[in-house]
Amino acid sequence: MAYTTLSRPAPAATTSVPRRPVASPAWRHIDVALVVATAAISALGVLMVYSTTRTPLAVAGDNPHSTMKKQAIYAVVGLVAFVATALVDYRRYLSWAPVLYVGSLLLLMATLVVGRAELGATSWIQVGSIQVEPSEIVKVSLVLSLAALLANRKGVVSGRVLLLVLGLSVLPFLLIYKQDALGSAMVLAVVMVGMLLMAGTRGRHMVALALVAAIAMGGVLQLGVLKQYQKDRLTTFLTAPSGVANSGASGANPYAATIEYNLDQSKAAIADGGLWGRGLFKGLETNLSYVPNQSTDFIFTAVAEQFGFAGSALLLALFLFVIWRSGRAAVMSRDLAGTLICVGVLSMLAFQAFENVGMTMGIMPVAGITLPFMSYGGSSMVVDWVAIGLVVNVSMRRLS
Amino acid sequence: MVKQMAQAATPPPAEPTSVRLRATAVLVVVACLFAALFGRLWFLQGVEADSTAVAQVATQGLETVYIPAPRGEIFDRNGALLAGNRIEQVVTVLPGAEAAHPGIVDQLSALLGEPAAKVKAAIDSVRYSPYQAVPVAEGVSTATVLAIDENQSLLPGVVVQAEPVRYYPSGETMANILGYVSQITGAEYARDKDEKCGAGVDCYGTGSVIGQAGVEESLEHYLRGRPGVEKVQVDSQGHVLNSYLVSPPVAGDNLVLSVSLTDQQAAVQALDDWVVKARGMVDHVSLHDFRAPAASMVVEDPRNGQILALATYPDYNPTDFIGGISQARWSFYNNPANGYPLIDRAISTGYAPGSTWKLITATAMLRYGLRTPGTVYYDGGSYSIGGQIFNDNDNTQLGDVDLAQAITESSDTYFYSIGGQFYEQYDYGKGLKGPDPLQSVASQYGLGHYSHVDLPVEAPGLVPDAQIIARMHAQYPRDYPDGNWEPGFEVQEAIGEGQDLVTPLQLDDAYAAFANGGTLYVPQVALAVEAPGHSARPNGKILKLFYPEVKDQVTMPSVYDRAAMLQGFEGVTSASDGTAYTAFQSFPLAKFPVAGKTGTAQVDSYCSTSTGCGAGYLTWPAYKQDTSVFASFAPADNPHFAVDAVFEQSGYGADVAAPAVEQLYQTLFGLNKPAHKAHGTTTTTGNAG
Repeated sequence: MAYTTLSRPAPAATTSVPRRPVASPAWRHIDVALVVATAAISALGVLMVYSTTRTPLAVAGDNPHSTMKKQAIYAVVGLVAFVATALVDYRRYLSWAPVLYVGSLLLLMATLVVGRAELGATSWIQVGSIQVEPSEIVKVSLVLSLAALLANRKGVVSGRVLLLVLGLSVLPFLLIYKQDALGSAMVLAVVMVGMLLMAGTRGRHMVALALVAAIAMGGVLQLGVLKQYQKDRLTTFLTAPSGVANSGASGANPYAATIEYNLDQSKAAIADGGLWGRGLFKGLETNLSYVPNQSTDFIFTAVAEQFGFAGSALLLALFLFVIWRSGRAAVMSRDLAGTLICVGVLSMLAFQAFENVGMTMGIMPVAGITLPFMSYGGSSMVVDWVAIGLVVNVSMRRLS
Repeated sequence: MVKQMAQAATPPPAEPTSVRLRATAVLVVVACLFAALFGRLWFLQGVEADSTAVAQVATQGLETVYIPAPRGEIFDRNGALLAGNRIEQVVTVLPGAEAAHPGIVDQLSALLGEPAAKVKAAIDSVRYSPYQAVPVAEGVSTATVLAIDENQSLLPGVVVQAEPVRYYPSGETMANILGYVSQITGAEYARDKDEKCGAGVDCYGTGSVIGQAGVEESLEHYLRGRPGVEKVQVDSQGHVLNSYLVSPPVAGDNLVLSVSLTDQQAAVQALDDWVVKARGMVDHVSLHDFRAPAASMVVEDPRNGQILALATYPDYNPTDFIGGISQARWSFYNNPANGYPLIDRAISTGYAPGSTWKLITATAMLRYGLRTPGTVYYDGGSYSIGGQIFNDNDNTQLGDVDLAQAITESSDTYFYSIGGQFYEQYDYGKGLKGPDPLQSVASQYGLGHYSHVDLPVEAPGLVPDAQIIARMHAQYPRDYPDGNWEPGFEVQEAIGEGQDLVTPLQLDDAYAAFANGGTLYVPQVALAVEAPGHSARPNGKILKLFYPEVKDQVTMPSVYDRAAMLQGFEGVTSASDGTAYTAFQSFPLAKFPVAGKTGTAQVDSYCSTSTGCGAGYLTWPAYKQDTSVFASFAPADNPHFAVDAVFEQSGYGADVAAPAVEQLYQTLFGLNKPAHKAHGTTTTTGNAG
């Protein structure tokens, strides 16, 4: 606020120009295109969730609209969360960052405790009748925390700060990894790298970081830290032969076979779409529920089968547009903190979209990452909208 | 740390150009990643979209379900129902019901009184499409149906359906003619797929019902109808989402047989009666009671080859096979002690015809001019040729006989010598490699090859000649040690012994051909195919008539010569020295003259001492007793029936086969009217004795 006020000549106190209300200017600069694009993706998501769940529900004798209705409600809640997020100046959030960070960490730990009590690790917490996924929430709190930390360094990231950033990131990473949500943990890593890059980390630091990461990954793979099924998930896309007919039964590993089957059906559904798609509600693989987890992680296959290459490319273009607008907001931000927030969100959305869509097409590992705004589920929908809310928050206050 | 973060960062970016540069770099990386996505997407949807993998997706989840067509019904020539479809209450389980509610297995088990394992096996049967209801119990009682209706909450997915189930009101009586139906076997299914399916013929499904014997098998393509086709959309979990009928089932056509149920019942009764009587007689060769393990009778109309009765003993109940034969019944039917009831002796077993063969020898003799009917031959009890001596049966000496007497009294020597004459004139030193006149005439009478009756599993019989013996010797040197056509072969053949094998149906065909003046018909059991009418009534439109088919024309001797033969055959039943005189003593021959010929065919040579009698002789119990044979037609002057009977191990043709045929004639000519009863499985004909 101080920056713009200072750079502008102060109006003469005697002029009769009326002062504008304080909140008014920011809303004028809202990035409508970004919001519309995001809303369009969300709306398509609701439709796709309906197309994938209506027959199984009908077969089970339930209301075929019930899952779609929930997803629609999640989208509306997301929109409300978006508005709420955008309303408050993002610089306030930066000051709350420590509280947000510690709070989300506590939630993660609570998940571990509750999960233990319920036998078997789970990434959900039951709050009343709602299930909350803290690993989703922590993404946003990490973005805000890192932005607050790095912006304070004025674009100079010393080795000490780098270690601090690493420490801040590793804690939630490990907690999420403990919950078997490997995919969400990877998102945190990508967010951290993106923000470090943007914050002006030195080249040699980045190289060192990459080296450490490579060694750590090798160690994890070699020392048996990962469970077999986690390795399978990560490697099946490399070993699985392409083609619909190879539906499972590769070797003696049933989990790998399940993943392979999932992948085969996923690729078959995408290929079935062809250039123009089968048409809404006309996808065979979709109607007959051949793709496991289609309404959640494999929602992209529903788009690909029903709307073909044309529709899928349009969806990817929409994602690219959202990412580009986030990048634009980062560049136009009035301060480094805003820039970092936008890049954090950008990294998160870009990586999730790339990893999720790549997974359905067999070029990325099956990692259990949702497709933003599309996959069925309340936590990710709301958190993704909050993230967009942060971007819009930054971009509309670029002049204030 | 917390303090540092808490200080909200507000200063402007130190290097705006650097921010722009770095942001651009990030966006470029993202753009590259998305380019990879676009590339992969294009590969999957543009390049691979026409691949077979995608074509497979198009048919994924679309299943074809066949709806069985009601099978055509079968009637006898008078309209009596022989094979019908009974509407039975069938308990079925809908697909997926067991998976969703495993408890229904126990519930059904308790309700049906069947072991749970059996119920589960029925539900899991792979014979049915996983998308259609699977039958668990057929023909359940009304009480069971009500119990299922009232307990739907306990039995989700259990539905009672009315389904047509094959039934045979005449039971065992018609079994060998009708056959039975059962579910298609894996081998039959595979054969259908390989040979017929698609080539203009409808395909069978894995659960199809198919005829397995008798006309159910041989005329299957008329009876089967056309199954309805239903396409079913199934999701990955096997739930049926929707279905549409491609074509409704078309009922099979009805079949009208030439067989008369009452005649068949009488024939079965005669067999039953005389098998029992034979077992009470003592074989004078082995001095044991006759075993009479099996027998058969054939009644044919000599005017057209239509079969009126075709009875075989022992018999089976085709209903046992409906819905799958039980292991116990199957074991019973295949136990040697029970005489293999599934074999139709009338068409599938070849017997040495014994003296009934003299019809052929006499015809050949007259045609080839070896003797005239009046030629007198001295029957001295034995005949010798090439150092071999052939004795009359029981060493009787008949003295001077002409042809008619030789037939009436069954002179073996008279016909041995004919065989010897044929051998000397046509075989000896002639280098003949094929049938001589005796075998040619036999062939014209239809012996030695398939009659082509419209029933499955017919035996061709065997009439050996020089060529056949040479071939048999080459193939089975142990069973046929001598590959040369010896005079003894011809001499034995002339009285229907030796290697001759004739099925009872073939023998009846031959007598029918003589009876009608020489026309050999293809015997037939099917009269007509009719469009399906109302239940159990042959009132459909006639779609096809099976006309009499001439198989061969026997070159008959002159009318005068044939009359002499006929006189001999009539004498068999009517002359006091006729071999079947006793059997027909009480039969009204004046009104219905019967021409016939007895036959007593030796099967084995008996050895009475336990020390053994050398090669070719058998001791009790390996020894098989003589076959009792009688072949005939009546009325002799205007034949309507050709009837023969063959009783295994029952001794003289005159003692068992002839009286059994006499008993049957009583019914055929309506002489024991009270015996005609309504259709049913039990009859009480037969007052002859």
